[in-house]
Amino acid sequence: MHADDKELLFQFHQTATKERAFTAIIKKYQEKLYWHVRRLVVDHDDANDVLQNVFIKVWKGLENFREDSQLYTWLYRIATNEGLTFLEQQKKRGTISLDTEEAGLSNKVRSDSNFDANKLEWRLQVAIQQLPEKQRVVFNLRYYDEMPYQEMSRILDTSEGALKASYHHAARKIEEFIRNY
Amino acid sequence: MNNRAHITEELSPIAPLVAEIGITELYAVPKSYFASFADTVTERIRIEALLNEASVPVYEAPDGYFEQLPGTVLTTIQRSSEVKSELEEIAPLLSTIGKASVYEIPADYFVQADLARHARREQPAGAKRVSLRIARRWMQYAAAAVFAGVLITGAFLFTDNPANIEEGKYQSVDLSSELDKVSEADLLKYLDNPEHVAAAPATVQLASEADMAEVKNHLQNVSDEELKQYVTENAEVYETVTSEKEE
Repeated sequence: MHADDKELLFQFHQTATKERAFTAIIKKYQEKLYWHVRRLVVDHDDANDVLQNVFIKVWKGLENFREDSQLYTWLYRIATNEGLTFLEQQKKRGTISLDTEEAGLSNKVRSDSNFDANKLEWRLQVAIQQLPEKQRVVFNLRYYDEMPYQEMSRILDTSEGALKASYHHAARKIEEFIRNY
Repeated sequence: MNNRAHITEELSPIAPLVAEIGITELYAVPKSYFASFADTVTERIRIEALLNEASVPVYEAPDGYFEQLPGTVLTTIQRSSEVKSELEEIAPLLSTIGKASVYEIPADYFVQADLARHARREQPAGAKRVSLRIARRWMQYAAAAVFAGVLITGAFLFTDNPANIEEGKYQSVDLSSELDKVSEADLLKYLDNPEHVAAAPATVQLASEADMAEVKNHLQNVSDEELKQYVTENAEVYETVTSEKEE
């Protein structure tokens, strides 16, 4: 059972319990954030790099964290930005094709050792990677993390209406892709 | 946070197939990855903190360095362009020629030079060092001594050996014909001078009577045949001596 965010933040601000509180925050959110990042970058090593950077930023920024937003939302915001920045850097380095980033990520999914094209679950993963970046993030946050549009709006700085529309577009595209696969 | 049922209900009219798929994590994660992840991150944070402490600058720039730097750079650039424009005016063709070196150096020259320098630097402290100055000085002394020796020998050969020169001079002279030209009166006059007789070689001495007696005794023991054989073998000498006597 994980401690309450407010309690963890309080402990973090005490010098004696700072490191212990930080470790508890990591343990509480590491899996959720890992899967969020992993669905964005696909590869485990990349996800690991990104996640470590996320928590290092959290360590540096938590001192000044304003508790007007939830810790959970703030962590997702950092993780999303780090994941997208990582993809941007990969595009610049040429690791992923500049023209077809989505195709590059789909290929990464296909190159997974467990990939099975006959399984609907794998087809879904390939279909998600075909989406444009913003739609991909929205679909993942809603479909996998079951995040309310209100929270998503804080993370992505986008209106709830735009997010709903984006999610609907994404779901339809995925449906179509899977049917035609 | 909405529950799964709500998400599925929302999705069903838009993408019924996707709604049916359900949530399953397909991606594999290394074993005990999440168990050690927190430690990994905190360790990295500690290392970063240490590195940040270590990266505090220990060097100091002189006062006003950064204020003066732009001016210094601009002056350097100006100076460079002045030289260029000056050359363009004086010798336009020259200014178009690049400054690339046309000379070639042996391959790896600088690498070898560098190695040589390193080798010198790495010479053991206890190794014997030979002063090149002292060696050079000895070389100079030796060269001077040889030169002086050559000079002295040369001087001696050319100045202090007239006999050789005289001998060479008279080698081509026919003495008998030259003596024929001398009158008998002059010869007698020359022989009358006791100094000339005294100057004759000391080794040329007439045999004493005792010596001659000994020779006679010795010859009595020699047979006539042996004497004839001796005369035959030394006929040339004999003829020369007899002809001289006849003359």
